[in-house]
Amino acid sequence: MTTVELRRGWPGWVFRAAIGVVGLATAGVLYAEGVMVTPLVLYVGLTAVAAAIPASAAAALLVAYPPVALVVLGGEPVRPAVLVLVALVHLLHLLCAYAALVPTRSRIHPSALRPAALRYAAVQAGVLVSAGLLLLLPGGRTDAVVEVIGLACAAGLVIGAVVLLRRRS
Amino acid sequence: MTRGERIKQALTGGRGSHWHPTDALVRGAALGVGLVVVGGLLHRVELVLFGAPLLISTLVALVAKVGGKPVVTVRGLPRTGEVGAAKSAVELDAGSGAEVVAIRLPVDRPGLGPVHLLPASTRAVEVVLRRDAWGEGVDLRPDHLVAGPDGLLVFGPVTGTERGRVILPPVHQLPAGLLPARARGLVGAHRARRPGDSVELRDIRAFQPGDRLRRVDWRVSLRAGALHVREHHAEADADVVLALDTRFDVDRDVGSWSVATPGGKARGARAGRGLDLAARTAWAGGNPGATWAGWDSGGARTMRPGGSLDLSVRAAASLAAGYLRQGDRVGLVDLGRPQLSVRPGAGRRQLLRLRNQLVVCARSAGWAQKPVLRREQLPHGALVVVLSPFLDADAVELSVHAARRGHVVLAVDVLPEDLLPDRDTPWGAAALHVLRLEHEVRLEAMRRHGVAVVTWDARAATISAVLREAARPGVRR
Repeated sequence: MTTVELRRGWPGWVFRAAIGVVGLATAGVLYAEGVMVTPLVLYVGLTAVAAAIPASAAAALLVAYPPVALVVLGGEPVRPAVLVLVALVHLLHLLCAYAALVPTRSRIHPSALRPAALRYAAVQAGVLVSAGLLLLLPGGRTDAVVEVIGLACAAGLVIGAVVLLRRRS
Repeated sequence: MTRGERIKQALTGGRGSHWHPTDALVRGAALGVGLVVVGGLLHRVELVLFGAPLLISTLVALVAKVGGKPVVTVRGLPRTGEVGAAKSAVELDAGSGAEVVAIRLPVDRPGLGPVHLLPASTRAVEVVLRRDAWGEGVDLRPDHLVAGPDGLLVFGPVTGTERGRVILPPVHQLPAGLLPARARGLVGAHRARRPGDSVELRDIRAFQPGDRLRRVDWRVSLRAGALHVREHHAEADADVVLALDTRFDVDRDVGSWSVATPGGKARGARAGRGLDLAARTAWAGGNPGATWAGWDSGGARTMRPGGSLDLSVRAAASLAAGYLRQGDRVGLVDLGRPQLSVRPGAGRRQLLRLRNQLVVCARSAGWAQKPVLRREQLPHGALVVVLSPFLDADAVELSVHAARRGHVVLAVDVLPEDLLPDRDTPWGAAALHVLRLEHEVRLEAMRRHGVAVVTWDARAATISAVLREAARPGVRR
């Protein structure tokens, strides 16, 4: 059995700092998109709370607010700001998930994060490809049949998620 | 499931030694599905784009088969050790599907160490354990938490089993000296009173039947006109009894002698055991991060450095090593706890036994009504070394009684140097002055009764000088 030597690694607060940096970057993109200052101040406050308590509801609000804000603002559905925010929000979600696993005074060994980083890159690449396909699709009114199929798929997704969560817990 | 297990599960919210989802899984599932569904219903593509990565990450985590019970084992950790660094290995079996392991491991520093986030593929980790003080303590407690992809499913946190070592008191190299002339065997390093085969001349006397011819001193015989023989001393081992006064543990600050230590134990008569095993397994409930943050990584807390008990134990270990190196028989008597005594013995194993027992004595040290040194605990003619701060008359009386019974008694004063007065009272300086005078009177009383008194400092310089002087040729031992 190979015995590895314990290296020093990164300090545990790196996750929390990364949450803060990514949260601020998200706020900056939202500001550039025209979101008012008051909600952005609240968003920065939420970022601080999420950095301090990554497993709290603040992390969920942090992830949920940018898409809602973009929907309220309107504009082109697929544009550079949206794609950047998609990547940042996904990164926030992952950082909060890992930060919740370890205390602040811990040591993070970068090799532990390699699979997660590769998966993140793969998922984001998939999302970018999907966005490109969406741009190619024709716009306009959708047939009623397609709407019904879409609704059925949505219901299936919800039911599937609930069932999976119940089975795991 | 027992009642205790049910209560524990209720308190911990169902988290612990089994695989369970985290808040991140719920967040990913709820927001992923919600954004995709709402985006579809409202025909907003950007909502679908936001929800898709969250949903995909969650599905990957749910599809991946995580299972099995992670196992953490420690190997190569001895029961006893010396001050300094030692190596050990921690083996990890994270179970199937796990991606990361968060485990508490020390990093070449005293204490339990921080939590390390490692890849779950790690099979064994080499850890360096460091202890800077002697005594019992916990070196390793591999608390661990195993997580699946993206930390959405976790096993734990699990409080690891504490693994500790007994760090033996360090040994200062001391010169030989100050030993009684008393035969206990046929061979040894010290001159005995009875005749024997050493090279040291004892007497020249008239020849008697039975004397060997090679002992005849021809020069004296010719001068005297009758046969005379040279008689030599025998060489023998000595018995040494180290009498440890564990009733006191005082440090330089007189004001703190009667104050409770941070570890919750009173100083003075009861202080200094230290060795808080830090086996706290706090459980905050809720998220694992909060739970881990509540754990203290203080690890082992050893005896107060520089205190009288610390000095006593170091002195006893050093003296024992010195005498045992000469081939003498050394025993130990705990004046406060006579049942913890060790019979005199010789050899390297006896030194290990004595050093271990010194740790035991220090651990159970505390107030005792009166120091006890029974006659049967002292072999006939043994050297008695009394190690005490001599803060009361009982230890003095005990030393003097041993000297009156015919033992050579060496009193080692372990009261710390440069005592500081109590600053909380205006009488602190005066009280310290009285204390010093009383202490000096006690030492003087012992000297007058034939007890050799030496002071033990941190580097053992004083006693080294005394022993070197006693070992000089021509000085009667």
